[in-house]
Amino acid sequence: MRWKKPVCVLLLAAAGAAVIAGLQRLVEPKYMGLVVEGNFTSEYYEETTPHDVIFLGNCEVYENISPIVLWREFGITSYIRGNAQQLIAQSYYLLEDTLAYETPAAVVFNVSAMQQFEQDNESYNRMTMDGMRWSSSKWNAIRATRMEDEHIIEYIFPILRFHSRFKELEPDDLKYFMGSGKVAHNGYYLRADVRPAGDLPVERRRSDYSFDPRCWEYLEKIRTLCEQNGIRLVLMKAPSLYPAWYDQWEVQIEEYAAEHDLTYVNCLEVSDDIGIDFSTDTYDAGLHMNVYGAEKMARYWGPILLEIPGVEDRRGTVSGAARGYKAGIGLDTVWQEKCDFYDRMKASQEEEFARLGYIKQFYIQ
Amino acid sequence: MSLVSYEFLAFFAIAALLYYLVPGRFQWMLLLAVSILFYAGGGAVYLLYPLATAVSTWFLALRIGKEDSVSKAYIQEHKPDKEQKKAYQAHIRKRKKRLMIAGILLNFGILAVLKYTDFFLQNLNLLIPLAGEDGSVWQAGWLLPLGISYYTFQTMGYLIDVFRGRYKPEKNLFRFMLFVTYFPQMTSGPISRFDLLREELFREHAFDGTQFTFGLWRILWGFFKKLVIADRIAPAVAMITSSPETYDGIYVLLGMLGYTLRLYADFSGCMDIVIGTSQCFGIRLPENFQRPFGAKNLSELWRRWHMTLTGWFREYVFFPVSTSRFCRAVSHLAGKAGLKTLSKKLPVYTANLIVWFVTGIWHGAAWNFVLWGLANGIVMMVSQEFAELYRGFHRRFPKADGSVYGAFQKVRTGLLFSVLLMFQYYSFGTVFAMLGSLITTGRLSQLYDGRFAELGLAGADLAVLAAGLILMLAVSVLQESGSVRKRLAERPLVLRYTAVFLLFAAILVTGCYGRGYDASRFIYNQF
Repeated sequence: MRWKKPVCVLLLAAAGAAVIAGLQRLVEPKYMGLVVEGNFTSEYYEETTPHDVIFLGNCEVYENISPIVLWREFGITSYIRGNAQQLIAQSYYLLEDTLAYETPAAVVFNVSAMQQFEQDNESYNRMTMDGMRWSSSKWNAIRATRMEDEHIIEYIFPILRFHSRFKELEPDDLKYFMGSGKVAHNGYYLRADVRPAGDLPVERRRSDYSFDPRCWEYLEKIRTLCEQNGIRLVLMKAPSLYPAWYDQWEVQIEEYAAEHDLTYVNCLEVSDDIGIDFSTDTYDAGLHMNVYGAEKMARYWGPILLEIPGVEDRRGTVSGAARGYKAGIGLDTVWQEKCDFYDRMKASQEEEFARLGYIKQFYIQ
Repeated sequence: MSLVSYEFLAFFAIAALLYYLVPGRFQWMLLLAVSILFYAGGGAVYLLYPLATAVSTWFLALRIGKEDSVSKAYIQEHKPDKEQKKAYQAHIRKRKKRLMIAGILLNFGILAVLKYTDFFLQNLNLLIPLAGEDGSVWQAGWLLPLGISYYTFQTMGYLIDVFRGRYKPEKNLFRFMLFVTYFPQMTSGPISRFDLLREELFREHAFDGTQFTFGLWRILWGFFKKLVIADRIAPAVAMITSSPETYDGIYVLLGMLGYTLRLYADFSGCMDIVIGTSQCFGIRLPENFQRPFGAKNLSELWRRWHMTLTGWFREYVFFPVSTSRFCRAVSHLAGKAGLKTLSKKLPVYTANLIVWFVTGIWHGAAWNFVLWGLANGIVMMVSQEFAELYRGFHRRFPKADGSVYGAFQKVRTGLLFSVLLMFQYYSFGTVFAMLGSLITTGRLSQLYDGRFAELGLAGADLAVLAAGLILMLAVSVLQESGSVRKRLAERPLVLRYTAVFLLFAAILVTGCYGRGYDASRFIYNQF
């Protein structure tokens, strides 16, 4: 039979591809233990309703503001598209990616990413990019930010990058083989432990305080993209005590914001107004906020965001039309589920911290 | 461009696609273009070296060929008598020789200057204090063009062959350039002969599915040997061999065997990729390995290991030296002095020592490589001296020639080869000290004293290594009775697909490549 061989070849090829796909899934990190940040980017695509506000940036965003409180107390629908050491170019392409699904009324960009244009640790690139859906934005993001010895093909076929993990496979790799669990709250990384701010390293003097021109280029691209889509861009500097945010940097950002008529809030300067207490509101000695600090930040930002046209109290309404979403879904129901998940995790961490003095999942022995 | 890189795979795929798309008469031109592109990938300036070699050798060979034509025409026209003809031919030969020597001096000169200047200067620096002077001479630190030893040897073989009248010189410069720069073989060999490769390179090749598949399988097998075995063991071997003060006793044996295994898996894996790639283009290249660890003595092992290089030395160094006027004169003198046996052996042994000296220095511009080469030569000469004794032993004990003794001979030869390789990575004195340490303090229990754990070989690595070695051994045994690929091709589709897929998956998952591994450079590229 003439058709027998081609069919057999096709079946074998399909079986081979399935095995390779399975192996790939097995060796890919699941990010369900100490490090969960690798799941943040992909969780965005599980959203069922659009958002009025998108936060962009690195850890200073995804650990420092609670979208759940923004909803619960102000009715603002928001999402944080942030990752560990997310570069400004990656923020730009993640915004481009977001616009393929929805057009928010406001984008809040955390300016600390202006400090560095190039990645110094490939793991951060992988955590940010691996979860991104394939599109021209992802392709361009990889091209713009990959490190010297990173290959695009390793992003297309992650098995090429993570194959050596076959030596260190854990039970989690099988447990989460079919899919990782949810770890973030609309991109927010919840930590209910407390470690008061202590002595921080002394600010180092720099010979040059100007930002990399490529950072400026991407900030301009973010601004232009927002302008083209009728989105209000807001700049923010999160209340992180370290790494240092120099006055010289502050001046440059202030000038840029003034030049383009953008709102800029340096939370370090208004930390008293926000009500931040660095002895209780940080879980890592002042680098990032814990849930208590993040909730205070949300309460501070709520009124500011509500002043932006298009950012509204959506409680008791249904979702509007957006490219990636169905319209007419009751937002209260959707967000109630999110709030429950948030409350459960917060209560569980609080209980564990009160009992042990640390949270097991994040405890490094 | 490393042979084990994504870039190479993409380059190969595009080149192969274009190769079978262009009309057959343009195929060699396409190969030349991609070969130049391949080499230029490592820095366009380095392309000047092989091009200089190609142009100079092509020109000189053409001139040599022209001398032959002129000579023939002269003889036909003038019809000289026997004496005149002889004198004229001697005159022509002298002119040809001059041209050949010019080519050899120029090209080996480039190789010598680039590869051995620092070696020379280092030795000079050692001599300066002995002369009671202070200071030191600068080091050149020149970068070596990729594969310079290979293409220099290949082109010089061509020049000598043309001089000897074995074949006519190539008239087309571009065809000759392809012979010099043919990309699969340029960086690591095998060293080909022009008369054999010419037929393969310049004829038209229609796509042959079987040959192409066989080529791909061979590439896959090369990747397995290189990435799964050689690069897995390389860091541990480097640690052992570079720290004799830490790794003594049983670790000397471990380092010895590991070094040999890595060298073999790395180089033969590289050859599998090179020959497999070429096979995909329908071009057969000479083999460089023939199951060397199946050899029963060191001479045989060297006839099966890096065969094209040893063949080159035999053809262009050993024979000319052993039959040279100098050797004949020395032999004659020894005979006159009543040393008849010595007079017979002297030319062979002289040539042998020269070949092994050159082999040593070819492998590395350092004295330990020279010592390694000479040690090989001396062991073989001693072995030859004892040949009669062996024959006597076998006459006395004919039953000792069975398969068990055969296996013993193979193991002994492999071990001897490994012991001699110690000269490559230890200093002369350290070789003997470490062998002494192995014999006097070597205990298996030393493997559990914590030093093994520092080598970075996890349990999974050892399991992969063990499985890889068993597979390599099995393939080697199967090869003794014919081509493994041919036999695999005769199996049902499902079976052969599964076998190839498992090999592919094993490389994909257990191979040492990508970030975290500093693999990807074949040892033999350095030559």
